[in-house]
Amino acid sequence: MLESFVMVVKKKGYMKKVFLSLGSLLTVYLLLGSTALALFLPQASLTGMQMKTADLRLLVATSGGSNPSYSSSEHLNGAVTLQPGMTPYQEVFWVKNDSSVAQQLDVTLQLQASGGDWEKLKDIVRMQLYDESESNAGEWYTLNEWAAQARELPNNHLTETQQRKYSIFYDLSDTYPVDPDGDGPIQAGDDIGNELMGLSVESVQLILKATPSNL
Amino acid sequence: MMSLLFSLALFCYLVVMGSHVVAARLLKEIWQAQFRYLDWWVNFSSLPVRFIGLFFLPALVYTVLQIRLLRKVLQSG
Repeated sequence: MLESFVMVVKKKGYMKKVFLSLGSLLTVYLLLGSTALALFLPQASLTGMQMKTADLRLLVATSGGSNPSYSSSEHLNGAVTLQPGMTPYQEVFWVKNDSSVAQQLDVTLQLQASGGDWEKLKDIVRMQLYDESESNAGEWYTLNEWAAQARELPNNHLTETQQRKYSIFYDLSDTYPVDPDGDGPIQAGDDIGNELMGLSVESVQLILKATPSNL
Repeated sequence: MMSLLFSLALFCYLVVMGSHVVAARLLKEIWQAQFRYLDWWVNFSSLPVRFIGLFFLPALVYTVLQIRLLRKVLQSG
């Protein structure tokens, strides 16, 4: 009886040692995995964003909910963390045709930016516009494509005093290059991890332009 | 006994090191939280030689130590 009790205690101690040893190894490997993920997960950001109108008849709002507060220049939040495969960032804005005469305006949007890591991110970060009222989505274009020419908003006709709610989506392309500066992966002077880590496009301006069109 | 104590100390060191690097990267770089305490850890983890020498290699040493200890335990059982 006593012998079997001693055996059980010994067996318990033995199992405890084995589990503790395996558990500690597992903990260290989980930490290794987490650090590798934290270090190598590419992420970029869009900061200092402003939406402006290039036409006196056009106003824009980025806050105010059901009662938007319009002006000719508004601040946008942008995107703090853009990662491949992540759900795109979304923020809303309203555009209003503020002209008092019977005139329809066709609204386009063009991007202006050169600050921060523009050269590295211009072909990787993408934007899409979405018309909330009629669930009409525009095409995804890269920042470079938005900067190259003014592009129409989805459902972009606004009659006098008419306003429309849009969403703007930001996304990091899934086909990002592993080595954006083209010097081979991790050279002296490069940060550890993916070279997109911590890059940012700063002072992005989204310019809304209006062209009068016939009703 | 000494190797067991060394192994325990190394485990604590790795946990402290790893958790700080993960916290520094996630909080400072990704969520851009303002924790001055983590500044040093962001700098630390951005230097490959320092990071590999002070984290990945000790983790490798710890693995070898633990496997040897585990083998001893299994043999004694």
